[in-house]
Amino acid sequence: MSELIDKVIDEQAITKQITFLDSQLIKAGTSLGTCADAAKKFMDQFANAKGVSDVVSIMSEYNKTLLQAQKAQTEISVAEKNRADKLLVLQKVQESNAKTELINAQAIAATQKAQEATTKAEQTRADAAAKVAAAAEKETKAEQELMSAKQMMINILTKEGVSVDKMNMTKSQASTINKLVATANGAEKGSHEQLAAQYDLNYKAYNKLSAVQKDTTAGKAMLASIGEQSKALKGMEGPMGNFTRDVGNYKNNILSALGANQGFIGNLANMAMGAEKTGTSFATAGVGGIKAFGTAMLELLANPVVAILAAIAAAIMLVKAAIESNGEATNKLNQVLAPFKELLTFIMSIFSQLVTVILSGVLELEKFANVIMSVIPGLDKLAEKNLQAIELEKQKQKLAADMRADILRDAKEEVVIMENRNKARQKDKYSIADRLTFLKTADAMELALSQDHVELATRAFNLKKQQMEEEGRTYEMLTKDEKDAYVNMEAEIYKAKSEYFQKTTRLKSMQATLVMEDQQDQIAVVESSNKLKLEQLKTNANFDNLNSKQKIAFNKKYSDQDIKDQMSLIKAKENLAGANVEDLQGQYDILLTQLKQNNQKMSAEISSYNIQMLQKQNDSNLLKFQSDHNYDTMTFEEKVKYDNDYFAWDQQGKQKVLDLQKKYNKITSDEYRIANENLKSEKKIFITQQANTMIQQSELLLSEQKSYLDSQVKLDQDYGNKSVGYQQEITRKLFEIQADLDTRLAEEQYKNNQIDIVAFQTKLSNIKAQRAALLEAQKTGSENDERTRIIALESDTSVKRRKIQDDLYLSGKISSLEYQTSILKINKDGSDNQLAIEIWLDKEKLATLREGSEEQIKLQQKINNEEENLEEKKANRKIHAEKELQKKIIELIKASASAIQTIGDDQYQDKLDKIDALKTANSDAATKENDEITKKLNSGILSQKEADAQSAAIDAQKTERDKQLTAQENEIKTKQAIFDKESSAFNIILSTGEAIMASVAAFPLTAGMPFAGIDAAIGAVELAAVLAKPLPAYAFGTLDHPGGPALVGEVKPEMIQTPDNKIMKVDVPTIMSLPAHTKVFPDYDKALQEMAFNASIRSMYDSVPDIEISTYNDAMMRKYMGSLVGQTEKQNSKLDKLNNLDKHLGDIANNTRNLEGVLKGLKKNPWFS
Amino acid sequence: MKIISLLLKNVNKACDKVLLSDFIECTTYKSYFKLKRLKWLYVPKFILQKAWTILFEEYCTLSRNSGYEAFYEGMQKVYRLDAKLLAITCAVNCLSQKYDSSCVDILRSFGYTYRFNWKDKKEYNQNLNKVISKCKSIAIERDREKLKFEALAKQGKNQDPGVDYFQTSLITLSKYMGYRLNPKEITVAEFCGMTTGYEKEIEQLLKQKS
Repeated sequence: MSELIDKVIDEQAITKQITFLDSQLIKAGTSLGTCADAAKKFMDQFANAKGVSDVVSIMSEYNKTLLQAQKAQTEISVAEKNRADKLLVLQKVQESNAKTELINAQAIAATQKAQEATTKAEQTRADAAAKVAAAAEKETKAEQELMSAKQMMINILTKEGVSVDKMNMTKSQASTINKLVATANGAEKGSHEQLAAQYDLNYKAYNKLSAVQKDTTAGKAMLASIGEQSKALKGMEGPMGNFTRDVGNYKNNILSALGANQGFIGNLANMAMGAEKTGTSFATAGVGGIKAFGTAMLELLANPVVAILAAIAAAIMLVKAAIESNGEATNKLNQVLAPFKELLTFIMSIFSQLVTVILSGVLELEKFANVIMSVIPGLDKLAEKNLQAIELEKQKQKLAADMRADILRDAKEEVVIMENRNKARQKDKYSIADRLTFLKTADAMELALSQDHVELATRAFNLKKQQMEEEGRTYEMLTKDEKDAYVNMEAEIYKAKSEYFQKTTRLKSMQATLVMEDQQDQIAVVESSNKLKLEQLKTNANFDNLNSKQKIAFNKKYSDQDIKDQMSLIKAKENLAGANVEDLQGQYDILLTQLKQNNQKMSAEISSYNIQMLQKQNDSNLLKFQSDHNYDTMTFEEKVKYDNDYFAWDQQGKQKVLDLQKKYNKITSDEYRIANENLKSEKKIFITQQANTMIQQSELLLSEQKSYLDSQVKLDQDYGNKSVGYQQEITRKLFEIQADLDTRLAEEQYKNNQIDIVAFQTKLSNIKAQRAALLEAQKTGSENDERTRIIALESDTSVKRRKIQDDLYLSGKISSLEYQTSILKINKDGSDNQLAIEIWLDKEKLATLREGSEEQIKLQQKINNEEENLEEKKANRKIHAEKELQKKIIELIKASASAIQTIGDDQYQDKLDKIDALKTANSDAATKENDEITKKLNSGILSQKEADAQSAAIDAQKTERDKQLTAQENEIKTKQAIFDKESSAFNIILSTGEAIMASVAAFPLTAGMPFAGIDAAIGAVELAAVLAKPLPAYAFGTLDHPGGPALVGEVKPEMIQTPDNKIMKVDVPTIMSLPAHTKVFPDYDKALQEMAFNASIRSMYDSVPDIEISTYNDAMMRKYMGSLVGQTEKQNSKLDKLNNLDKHLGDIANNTRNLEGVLKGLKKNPWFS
Repeated sequence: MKIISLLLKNVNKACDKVLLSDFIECTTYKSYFKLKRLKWLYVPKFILQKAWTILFEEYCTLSRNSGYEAFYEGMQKVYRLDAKLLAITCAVNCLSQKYDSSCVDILRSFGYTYRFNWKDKKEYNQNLNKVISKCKSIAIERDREKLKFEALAKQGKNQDPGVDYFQTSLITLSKYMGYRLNPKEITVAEFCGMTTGYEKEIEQLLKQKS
């Protein structure tokens, strides 16, 4: 049965696979059709492409189609190959199935036959019962006759004076007869047995009568009755070859066999003669012997051994006759040997009884029987039969022994199976592989047991059949019990087979359950492990102590890991669920298909035949249609019409076939339903039950799996919502950060600009004031006045400073030491003034002294020395002051020049922008006018000619205007270029001037001319070069440093990003040698925030491109992109605002314009001339 | 995808928006970061490359590059033939699996006006085989065009405008315009316009001389 199912599975599976492959081929073909359409469209698109980028953009889509086509083509190749293979396999399986079906049909026929036999047996049993009833009736009649005979006997005995004791004996005999009759009645063994029993009883009763009784009428009547019964029995047994009935008349039988039958004797004599020496004497002696022995032998029949010996003697004598015996001789021989056969049967029954007690003794006994048989060579035929019987018995005994051994082995194997099953349940001790091995071992053993049961049942049944054949009995000849036993044996085979099948199904299910449980356990372990891993991740990361950025980063990592784990688990669960459902569904399908198969087959054949006929008819119609038309001679329109008609015909035919198909499908399903209702055989009911059980199990599991998958889907949805919310939260936070960043950036830039402006203004005013003061100082009067003023100033200052120090000391705000130190410093500062005062006083004193006196000369020398010292000091101070002045002037000039250049650039740019605007306006106006003309033309106000003329005029006007504007633009650009050049030159001059001034300032007493000349000579080259390539100072940062030294960190902490992405923070003014393409960001904190923001965008973007917006989260992405665009626009507007800050520079420009006058003055300065 | 078009909006890809200096840098170093409108915004490389393709194509058009035209036409021819061949092959393969009227229409549109009577399997297969054998000529033509195109592309690879070309052009144009042209100030479109004007004038002068 299992083989049958396997084949059905195979055939169904292969048919399904072929159907699937067919559908795949059609699908791939459809896909190719789509590709063909697409490719044609692409061909047109390529032809109409307007540029390489168009071709490239079409190419990317085209490549997709190309890949799709290649894929479809590969699928077709593979599917076609597989289909061919499957067809071959299917053919083989179908052949095999046909054989199996034949066997199956035979089995069903056998079952039906068994059922018929059962019915017949019941009928026979009923007949037998009727016969028993008839026998019982006869028995009653016989009893009545007996009773009358008894009565007669009593009457006779009474007349003849028979003693009471004898009578009593007769009574007891009669009682025995009655008991025997009752036993016979209860036996229900058929008429023959009844008759035989009756005969035996009567015979025994008659023999126990005395001679007197026998001679009575009743005795004679009884004898006559016995004779009739004997005749009747002989008549019944004769045809059966059973001559045991003559056992009671052995003497006569032997005599008739050896003497009365001349032919036989003649034969025997001939045989004896043929035997020559030994034969003649043996025959003569044997015949004589047996004649004498026969009588005595009859007396010894009570002893089987004697009977055997008699048989041996008879056999020896009749050996030759037996060898050459014909049918008659054999018959005679059987007559002779009947009692011995009976004896042997008796002996064999004893053997059998013994065998049931001691199995091992059977062979000995059998040997013994064989010995006996071998000793009776004349009983060849009998021996042959007996040998067959013995062989049969041997088989029976062996079967019995096998069954007993099987019980013991079953018990032992059950223990092993239980052990294996227990091991298979121990998840903690054994791996899944080991557990599966245990389970499979147990299953294999259990199946082997079932198989053994099937074999034993079959053997028992076959043996029974063999025995029946041996005995020449048919089923009809069996008794009721025997028939029951026979049918039970046959049923036992089917039961064992069904048990085997049930076990196979159950065991497969158990294995599948074990695997499923194990996978579920594994999933649970992985789940808990994942949870632990994630918790560990969180713990390790010290989540609570992280800052917000780190938390975001961690959350992303955490969620990625979690999503990955969840997805793998879901996939594993889906696979598991799918596999189980598939398995159960497969089993269910097989059983169901088996049920459907027989019923559908016939319907399918009929419907298939009819459909084929219809298709044939359709084809012939179409062929007729084709032959009626000559396609080659048709025009194009006719061809189109022909194609359409042909298609319509074809479709119509197809529709008919489809309708018929539908109809047959309906009929088939109806037939199936009816047939299914009529399935009443045990086998089909069993399969239906199995199918129902499997369906229930499948449905249960399917519902479980569905609920599980539903819960998973819900979980996924929850998780997805959570994830989306989380992503949105991140995006919102990022936008907040960015908005905050932008605001701060704008504020800071604005503030910095304001600060710069104010600082610049202050600087300018200070410089102006200082310069004015210094110039004023230069212009002040005579040396004396100067000295006086200085002395007064210094004196005043010293006095004031001393006074302050005194106050501080007296008020206790400074210590004595601090006071003394301060006073010393003030005195030192004021030493120059003191010296001047002393000189002045000395000079006053000198005027009072006599000329030429020694005192006067000394004083004069002292004054000279003091004056020299003072001059030197003054000169030094002057140099220092002049240096300071030059430095400040240069700074002023540089700042002014920069401002002027900026203003100049802006002015030129404004002009150029205006010209651009005029150009656009000109173009717009021309377009507008042209539109007006078109409108007028359309409304009929203007003719085509007029319109063309006006358009041409407008175009000419526009072109003229454009030319003018372009000329203006070129002029402005030329001026701008000149201005740039002048600015550059001016810068160089300024720098040269700076050097000259420095040079002059260094040597004021010599007017610095030699050095100034040299400086001026090299200035144009050297200093211009210096200024052309200044030390880069990145207060405003750069995105591409050319390489080499640069000043960084001069304003506030800056961020430096080298090309290899190294980040440095510089918070003090530093000159560093930086590699090329280094980026310098002016504000470290701001740059850090920007980098974080860009990194966030990058990470978010990186996660986007591979996912279609529609499949990812359309709404979220749209919102995000909308916000991004908004943010970008916002940024642009902010940048515009920042650009507007340039206008503030206008104020600076106004201020600096005032400096132009100063510059003119400076140019008049002898240092510039 | 919308994201691409959105990102493309933040990249300069028109000749009148890109400074010549940035263009030169893009050409020389194949680094297209200069095309970003916002320096701080992260834009993926492929977007920049796409923008560059559009920009360079416009440059080729504006500068009336004859090599570009040949390149474009060759490319167009190869792909058009390839698509045609694909359409025919797919249609035949589809028809070998099932009858499809649209595929038959496609084949007929290409001039294969056979009956394609699928009821007559023999004739049907013969028709399909004929199509396959005839379409081989298209494959040959495509391969020939492909070879031509590849040679052209190889030739064009060595003719990419480099820094030297632009420097020389700028010097010449500065002389022609009468003032120094700063690549940081003029756009690519302006540069092309000037070059074209200059070339025209030279042509006219040559004509006059001749």
